[in-house]
Order: sequence, then structure tokens, then C-alpha cells
Amino acid sequence: MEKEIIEVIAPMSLLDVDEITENDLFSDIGVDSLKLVEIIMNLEDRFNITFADFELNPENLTTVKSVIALVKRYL
Amino acid sequence: MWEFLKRKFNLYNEALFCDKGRKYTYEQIKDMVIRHGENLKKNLDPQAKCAVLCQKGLDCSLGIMACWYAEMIPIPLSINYGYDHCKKIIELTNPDLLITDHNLDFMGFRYDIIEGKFAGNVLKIQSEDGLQEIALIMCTSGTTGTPKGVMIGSKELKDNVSKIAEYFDININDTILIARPLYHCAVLTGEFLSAINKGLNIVFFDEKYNPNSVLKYAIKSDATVLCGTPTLFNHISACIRRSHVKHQIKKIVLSGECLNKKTALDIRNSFPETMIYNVYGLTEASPRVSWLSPEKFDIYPESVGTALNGIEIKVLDEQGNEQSANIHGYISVKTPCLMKGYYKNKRATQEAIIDGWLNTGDVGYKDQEGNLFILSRADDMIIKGGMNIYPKEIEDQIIKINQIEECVAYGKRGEVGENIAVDVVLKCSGEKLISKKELAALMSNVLPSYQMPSEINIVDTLKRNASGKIVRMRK
Repeated sequence: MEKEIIEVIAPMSLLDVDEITENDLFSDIGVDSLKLVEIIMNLEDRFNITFADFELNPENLTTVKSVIALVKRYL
Repeated sequence: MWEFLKRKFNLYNEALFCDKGRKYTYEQIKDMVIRHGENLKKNLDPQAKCAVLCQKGLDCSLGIMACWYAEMIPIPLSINYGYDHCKKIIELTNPDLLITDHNLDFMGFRYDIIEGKFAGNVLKIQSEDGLQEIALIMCTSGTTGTPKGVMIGSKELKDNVSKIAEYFDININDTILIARPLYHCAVLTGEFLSAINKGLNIVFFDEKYNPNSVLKYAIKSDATVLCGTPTLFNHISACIRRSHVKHQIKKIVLSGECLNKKTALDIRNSFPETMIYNVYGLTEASPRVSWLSPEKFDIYPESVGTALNGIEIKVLDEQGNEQSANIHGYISVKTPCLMKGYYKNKRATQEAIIDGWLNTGDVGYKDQEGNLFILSRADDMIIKGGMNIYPKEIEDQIIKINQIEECVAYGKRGEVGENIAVDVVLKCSGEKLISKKELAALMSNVLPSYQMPSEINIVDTLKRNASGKIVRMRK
């Protein structure tokens, strides 16, 4: 599942899927606030989930790991 | 400017200024502005320049208006684009004072707009000559990587507000949510001053970029008017689709980026009953130049409509001759709201304004009915999320990275707006070559987040023309 999530993240970053690791900071891989919004929207579509609003604080979603944890909470 | 504001504050004295923790009537705001303005007058002369850098939009607006009360010249800044960006503007404009709502040590002489107190060396500063008619210095991106200070006159600013009022159907029953910094001329003129002009309740949203929060706050504060870039509204539309939330937003204004058909349709689907304006302008024009009426939005949403009253728009060929309908060319504007010039940059001013016509740097065309369509930039400027970025700003920073021999930055068209791409040539040091990820981490140390590329290409050589000049990819 982590790989699937990274597949959603990668097109919004400047790295390929196999270059991204869980510990990567979004700021280090070219994911800014605009891209993060796109990633969240794409994850919701990909996994057919809707995140609660309180989960979507950008200050809590600064790493790939945090987004993986977020998705797992909803599956 | 103060006379204009005072009239409106008296006329609409019960309209409100709000943010998350505060609510004031126009009457109370007027008193606060006077109090701060009197403090400024004690220590500075008329036409003194004041940088205004606040975390909260409401405080920023107080700082700007206090400057106008004291006949001083505000230079709005924003922390959204990083403190380095602010420091560049301060170096360029050399303000006499910094007005702020949080502890900043940029400049020795500061005014705390919360406490109403000065800090640092309190000196009676002598103002510069030639700034008597200037209401504002708004900074915009420069080709050389150094920002340009656009000097906007009081008469021109008020004129642009009047022209906007002729088409923008807002009134005292409306509440506007201002979700972007007053640093942007479109926000200061098109939202803030235009709202005061008609007595709207004004609500400031101060969080970092979060379209979902903007939407929720708009609903919570009963906002009926919201302005923003196509990128922002694309994201807000997605939020509305996913949560099926009901909103009461009746009027929206799109600006700052080209709007494509797909995004327009997505926005319309999420705002089915809303009046949607697509507008065009530039800081150098104070800023509004053209508008597309809501009635036409669903017919040709990609157009930015026709010129405001008293403004002329021409599409020119390379020789400066006017193009026929539907033929692409360079967009030139004649407006009574024209800037006075770029601050301490005669050359850039002379390049931008020729015989009273402003060279916008945009490429587009007019259709048979005279509706304007913007296609692209004539130069290399990148428009990302409504923010203007010149490639040199990025290149000048990343070339400092040890491992980089050469680099070029350029824009690439995305689904909505543009993204930043960089091509880099690495130094051949014989050591292990650096990875894209490592490069990105190094770049994030030297670039503000809004300038970070979303694509990095490590190449052997950069493309050059016959005379050896680096050629940027076309978007």
C-alpha cells in the first residue's frame, strides 16, 4: 500500500516513484502547498475515501510518512 | 487616500472589519487608523516610506491606512514569499520605517501596530523628493532577479477603484473574505479598497495556503464575495465536490493566471448560482485593465473581457502596428491608472511605457467582438499560483550550490497555471554525482518554497543559440 500511495505522490514531486522514501520531507522533493492539495485530492480519488477536514492541516502533513499514516487511518 | 477612506468610513460606519479573533466597525477602524497615523506623524515627515509586514491582514490594512493618514507611502510586504524576498524589497526601496505586528529585526526602526509603539532608533527622517503624489510602492518581480517597485499615484489608485465599482456588482449587503495578502495589487485595489468603496463587511483569512480552510471560513463568516486565482478556485471546487458542502458565495473574481476551459467548467459546477468575473490587470496599471462580465463567463470563460471605461487595449505586432481580430500579438494598454514609474529605475520605466502605452509583456488577441484573450508571456516570466517569478530569481540562487555548473529555469504549463522546471549541468569533479533528491534538498535551502521547482532535469549541456546564449524551453 505504501507503494500505491507513493505512486500518487510521485507525479506531484520532482522524483520518480522508486526515489521517494517514507522519510522524505515534502519541501525536499518539490511538493509545495499547492501540490499537497493535489496529492490529497488524488489520494481521495485513488482510495475512494474522504478525509475529515481536521486531518488536512498542512502543518501536520510535511512528510511522505505523515500522508501514508493518514491514508492508513482511513482504510 | 485618507480623505477617500474617511468618507467611506463615515458613510458606512457600521460595516465591519473582522478576522479570527477580532471584529471592528468601520467607525472603530477609522479611530484606530487616526491613532496610529498620529503616532507616525510624530516621528516621520510626509512622503516617508514605510514597509508594512504583518502576519495578519487586518493589521496590514491598518498599517497601510495609517500611512495614508500620515501622508506617508506604504510598501506592503508579505511573509508568504519568505523573509529573504522581503529583505530584497527593503534593500531596493530603503524604507524609513517598518510597520509590523510581530517581532522582526529587519530594520532598526520599527512601529508595532499592536502596541502602538516605536522600537529601535527613533529618528526624524527626511523624506525623498518626487514622491508627493505617490500612494503606494507595490513590488513586483523583476527580470534581473531584483524586484521592481511600482509607484502608484493616489489619483490613479482611486480612479481604478472607481472603474472597478462600475462593473463589480457588490454592495453593503455583501461580505468579502480576503484570503490573499494585501501585498498583491489585485487584492489591495480589487478586493480591499473596492470593498470599502461600497461598504462591505471585510473578513481577513490569515492561514497558510489551505483551500479547504478558506472554504470553511468563507461559509462560517457568511462571505458572499471571494476573489482568487484559478488555482485556488480549482482547489476550492474540488473541496466542494468532495464534501458536498453548501455555500452562500454569490460573487467570485478570478485573476492572476490564465483560465482554461476545463478549470472554468469545474469552477462553474461547484458554483452553479454564482456570478463569476474573469479579470485582467497588472500592478503597473493599478491594476485592473479588463473584465469579463458574468453573463459571458459560460460562453467564453477563457477571455478576460473588455477594457474598463477610459482604458484602451491594443494587440500589436513586432513593429508596433495594431493586429486584426483573432491575430496574436503583444498586448499594450493605455490607462489613466498608469503607474508613475518604477522606483529608482528609469530605464525599466522607459522600456515599459512608450508614448503613454504600457507594454504588458503578455501575448494574446482580441476576437471580433473585442474580447481579449491572454495566451502567454512574451518573456520568460513564470506565473505559478498567480505569483510572478522570473527565472533569474531562481537561477541566481541555485547556481550558488557547489555541485551545479550551470542551470536554467523555465515554466511548464500544468493543468492549471504553470510549474517551475530547472535543467542543471553538474560539475564533473570526479566524485560521486549528486542525485536529484540531494539537489532538491540543497535547493530548498536557498529557495523560498514558492520558487521550488517541481521538475529537475540533470543534463549534460544546456541548449544555446548560435551566439552562445542559453535558450529557455518554450512552455
